[in-house]
This record gives sequence, structure tokens and C-alpha cells, in this order.
Amino acid sequence: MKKCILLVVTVLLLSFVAVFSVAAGGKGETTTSGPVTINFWAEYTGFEALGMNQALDRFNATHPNIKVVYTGQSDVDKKVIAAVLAGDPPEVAEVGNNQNFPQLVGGGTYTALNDLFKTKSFDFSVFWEPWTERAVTIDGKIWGMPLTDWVLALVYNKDMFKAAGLDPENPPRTISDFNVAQRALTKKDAQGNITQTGLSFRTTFPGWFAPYYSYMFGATPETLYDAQNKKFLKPEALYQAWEWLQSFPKEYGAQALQKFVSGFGDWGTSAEPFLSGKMAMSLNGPWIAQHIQQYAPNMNWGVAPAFAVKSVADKGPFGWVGMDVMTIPKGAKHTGQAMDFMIWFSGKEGQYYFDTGKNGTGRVPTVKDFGGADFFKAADPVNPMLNKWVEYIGSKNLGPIPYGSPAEQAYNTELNAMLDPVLNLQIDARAAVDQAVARAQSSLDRM
Amino acid sequence: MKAFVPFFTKRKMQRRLTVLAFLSLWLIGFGGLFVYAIGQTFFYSFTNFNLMNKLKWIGLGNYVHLLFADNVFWQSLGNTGFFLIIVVPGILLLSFVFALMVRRKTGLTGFASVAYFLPFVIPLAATGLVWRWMFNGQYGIVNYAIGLFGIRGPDWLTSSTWIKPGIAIAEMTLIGQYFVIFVAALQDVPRELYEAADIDGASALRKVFSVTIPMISPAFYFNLVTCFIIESQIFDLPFVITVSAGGQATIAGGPGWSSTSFAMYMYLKMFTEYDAGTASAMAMISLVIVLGISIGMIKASARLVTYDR
Repeated sequence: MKKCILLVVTVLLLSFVAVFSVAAGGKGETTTSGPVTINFWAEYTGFEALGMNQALDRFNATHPNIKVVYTGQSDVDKKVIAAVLAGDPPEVAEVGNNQNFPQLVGGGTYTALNDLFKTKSFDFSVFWEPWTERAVTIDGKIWGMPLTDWVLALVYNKDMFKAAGLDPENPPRTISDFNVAQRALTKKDAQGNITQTGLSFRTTFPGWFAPYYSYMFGATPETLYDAQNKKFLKPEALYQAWEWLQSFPKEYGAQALQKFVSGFGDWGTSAEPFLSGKMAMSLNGPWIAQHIQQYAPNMNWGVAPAFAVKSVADKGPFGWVGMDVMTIPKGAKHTGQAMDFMIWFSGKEGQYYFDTGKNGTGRVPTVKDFGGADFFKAADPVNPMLNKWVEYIGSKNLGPIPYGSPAEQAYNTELNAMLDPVLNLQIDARAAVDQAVARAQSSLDRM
Repeated sequence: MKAFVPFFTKRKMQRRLTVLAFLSLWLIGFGGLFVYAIGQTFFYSFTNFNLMNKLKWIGLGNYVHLLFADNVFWQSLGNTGFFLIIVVPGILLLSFVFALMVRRKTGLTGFASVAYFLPFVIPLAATGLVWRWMFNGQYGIVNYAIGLFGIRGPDWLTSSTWIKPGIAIAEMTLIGQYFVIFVAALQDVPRELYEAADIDGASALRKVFSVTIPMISPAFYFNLVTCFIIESQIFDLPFVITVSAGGQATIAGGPGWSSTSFAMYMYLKMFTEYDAGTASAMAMISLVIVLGISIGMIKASARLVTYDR
């Protein structure tokens, strides 16, 4: 019996030693000689990761003292939080959902970069202004570097425009123009079922940024959120945007639209409505070029500034602007090398390898000095319209996503939850906005 | 005169230590993964913890907010109640009926058994994706099948009225584990009871209610409790079916939270808004509700479950 107990205790002890040895073993250990390993986490996977790998291969080949190990994964924010809490974060991490960025910064997930910029003598003015500094600056400090920029513009199918009797070189510029185009592009079959439309607002694109449609009606970050008093505001532009959304089921029939969108496939697949010819327009970013290349290579498509009310459209090219941000999580080990990598990646050479070539992502370069015509020529195989998006990012008339509230994710969740009831005519648009903003305010008050 | 039996003897201590040694692994796992986790959740439910901030004690703030100021909390509770009321009896009925059907050994028994059990072993994420296309309003096979009877099927995924019934239908295909338990229990019913019932002139239905069900009542009870606990935490299937479904806004739960379950709302609070305090309070409320109902079932089982043979 004694021997039995002794055996069990010995097995237990050995198990603990084995388990804790494995748990304590880190990833990306560095050796005293050889390159410093930088672990980089981001959400680029599948064919979108080809450009990332292309860029990283170039970096690793030209920087013998640093080796970047990339892990593409979903929900990177949650994993970074867990890694920071566990004391073993990656050296560089993408912000997966930039609407959470202010909250994550406030929670101490990331390292402020101002001191690192000083040691590297880095000048932030190389990036597109005012959007870049606005996107990564919180409480006077810079918390990230742009991995890639994006502008959401109007992407449209020229052949569908032509077939509907619209000028394919003159897409809608104002809300009124859009309403006219929508009527011309909406087709029905003999049974009265909608078979095609201009733009539908239930789909992933543009449904996911419905909370920011108020920019189309003249809202600004300052009229949407009072940062000093931590209050979500309800300008008339916000109500107008949602009343405009509700005008479509009122005109075309809620059930008819519901039936039409029920046949849509998922974003990023060949069944996506814009790619499958059910929608003639899409409000989208430069990544759509890869999707078109993959699933609808014969589409004759164009890019134009997004439409807005005339007073907004007259100020210059309009759209929504944001960026994928790289950060150094709190507690990361090799911050100097991490900063070297981020400066390279968001600079001219890194963006060239990330955006261009057959495997490039076709995204908007983050730096003003990106190489001009040569860059566009190199990006042509993947995104022949990249010059349009680059033109628009220089515009001052863009709506930033996010606009900077720490409860912005809650704001988006609540408004998104109201989108379908509004489109199903189950709730008045203004009441929906009031309800959503009240719930978001409640989340903000409890932070 | 009773002999004095000391409480602590060397032999008894040795025996107890042996038992403890063999139980230790499980106890460590139970303590670390269960007791500690529940204790920590209970503590967080009284704070404003969001994974990243310094903890601040707010007392019953999270509970007051949920119970008195959060209509979606009550809606998610109601949605989960709907699933429990429809899905649990539905699963038990279907698994019992199919178990009765395969009790008669025919050429198709083996195939039928595998077919009924198969949905249970396929990962729910894959099942959910398939159901999402099956429920597609225009191209889905469900509406096609309904259309054969001249009925126009609803837009399951975009309708706040039909999304819950759709998810309930999908959930009710997960009868595998309950079916297997019923099959095993049915094999244990003594044949003599059926022979005696035959002699008394009992019909097939009468035999089911008077012989089969009472004899397999422990299996019924076990399946009921298990099914209730699993379905009260319903998450995987409705989440995959509704998240970013064609035509939906990019949050899970159907139009206007219409099919958001309690577990889905808790997930949203915890992993999208990082509101760990509120999510922990929801977990505690869920624990109390499920525990309370489970205790009620245990008490009722004393009257309704036959263990003696």
C-alpha cells in the first residue's frame, strides 16, 4: 500500500513538472547569437496573407539581425489581451477591430511609441495627414503605426449601369443622384420579386459601417461624440441617415427586399451580391480588387467618391477613412527591433512589397512618398484602380472610422442591432436611433 | 457493551490517504478549473473589470443594470426560454420515438441508428454553416421542400418572427446522445412485462405508456436534465447560423436581437465589449436559474422516476 501511494505521488509530481515546463517554455526565444525574433500577429489569412508574406520575406532577407515570424489568425485583439495578461505578448500586433482601439489603449494593452520615435529619429509626417495621426493618437500620445490605409468609396459595375440606361462614367455623387440610380437599377421579375438592385443595406458591406452613414448627411466626429463630457450626441444628420435607410423598404417593400437579400451569400465569397451581379454598387475599400480578381475577373468596374448630400459632396471627394494599425503590446520584449520592423513595413519599401505584384494586396500605401506611377504600375495586376483610392485619401472630406469614443464598439453594436428592424419597418428610424444611442450611452457611463 | 473503535487508526489513515492520492488529480482539476473559476467569476460580477483596467468594486451595480436597465438581457432570457420550451421536449420526443423504431431489428436498423446519431458527432460550426444555406430564403432546401406542398416558405434568417423557430428546428436534429441512451435503456426492459401486458390485452400505445416509459424513466430523467442544461447554454448553432448571414448586420442573433440567446449575449458582453463585470454577473444569474430548475427536477424525480424493478 505504501508503495502504491509513493508511486501515485511520484507520478503526480512528474506530471506537474512536465506540465509547468511546457507552459513556461516561451515562443520566439532568442539566442545570444543570431537574429532577434519578432513575433507579429495579424488577421491577414488566406489569399490576403500572400502580400503579407511577400513583404515579410523581403524584410527578413534584407535585415539579417531581425527575423519576423508571422502568425495570421482571427480575433487577434482577444489573443493579444490574453498574451499581455499572461506576460508573454508578441512584439508586434495588429489591432483587429479598430473600433476597440481607444478602449484597448485606455486599458493599457499597448505601449506608447513617442519615446521610441525619438530614439529612432522617426518623422511621423511621412504618413497621410490628418488621418494617420488622428487614428493612432489618444490622449496626446501615439500608440500605433499604420499597417495599411483604407478609404471606403463607391465601387460599381459599369456594365450594369449601362444596361440600366445610366452613364457608366458618371456614377451618383449626391444622395439624390443615388436615389435616381437606385430606381433605375432595381429590377423585378414577372412575379414582382426583386432580382437586382443598386445597393442593399443589409449585407456585410456596407452593413457593418451603417453607424457611420451620418457622415453622408454632414455629421462629424465632433457632432457625434462629446469627448469632454463623455456623451454620445444625436445630431440631425444621424436621424436623417437612418430615415434615408428606412426610405428603401418604404419605397420597394420591406418583404420584397427581405426576400431579395435572403438569397445573398457571404462577404468574401463568390456568392457575395456585388460579385455575383445582384448589386450594381458597393461601398468598399481597395481589398475589393482582390475579391473581384478572384471571383469576378471579367467584371467591368469603376471607383468613384462615395455619394453624400450636396453640401458634403461639394467639399471634395467623400468617403470613409480608416487604417489597420500595428502596435507594440505592453510587456513586449524587443521593442527596438519591433519599431525597426514597423518603420520598415509602414514605409515606402514595405508598402511596395505588401501592396504590389501578383501576390500583393492592392491596398492604399500609408506614406505620401510611395512611388507614384511606378507603384501603380506594379499594383496593376491586383488592383488596376488603386490610383483612385490613393487620390481620395488625400481628401480632407472623409469620415474617420472610428471617431474616438472608448465605447465605440458598444455604439456600433447597438446601431447595427437596429439596422434590420429599421429595414423591416418594425421600428421607426428615429426611435431606433434614440434606443441604440441610449443603450450605448449606458455602456459608456459604466466604463 | 460496544467495543471502542478509535476514529483515527493507522490503517484507516492509510486507506484515506490512498483514496485521496487517487482522487487528487481530479480534485486539483476540479478545484483549479471549476471552483476557482466560479469563485473568480463571482468576484468579478461585483466589479467593473474589463480585462485591462484596475478592478473597482461596484457592488450590485452590474446586477441592477442587467435586471432593471437592460432590455436585451430580458430578451435574451426570453429567447433562451423559448428554445428550452420548444427544443427540450422536441428532442426528448424525437429521440424516444426513433429509439422505439430501431428497437425492432430490421435491415435498416444499423443505417437508421447511424443516421440519427451522425448530426451529434459533426462539429456544430460545420452544421451551422450547412443550416444557414438550408434556411436560405431563395435557394434553401427547407423552403424547396415546403414549396412542394404549395406553401411559400418564410425568409428564415432575415425575419425576426421565423429565425427562432428555424434555429429550434436545427437544434432538434441533435438527438444523438439522447437517442443512444434511450436505445440502451429500452434494451433493459424485461420482456416478461410486455408479455404480461399482451395477456391483459394492452394495445401497443398502452404498452408504451404503462410499461416502456415507467421502466425507462431513469433514462428519461437523465436525458431531461442533460438536455435542459445543454440547451440553457445554447450558443454554437444559433451563433454560426446568424452571424454575418447573408443579409444580416454583422452581429449574431438575428434581426434586432430576435434570436440572441443568453449565452450569446454574455459572449457579446465579454468578448466584443470586454465588459467582464457584466458578463460575470450574467454567468452568476444563469447559474442560479439553472441550479434552481435542476433542483426542482431532482425533487420531482422522487415522484416520477421509477428506480425499483
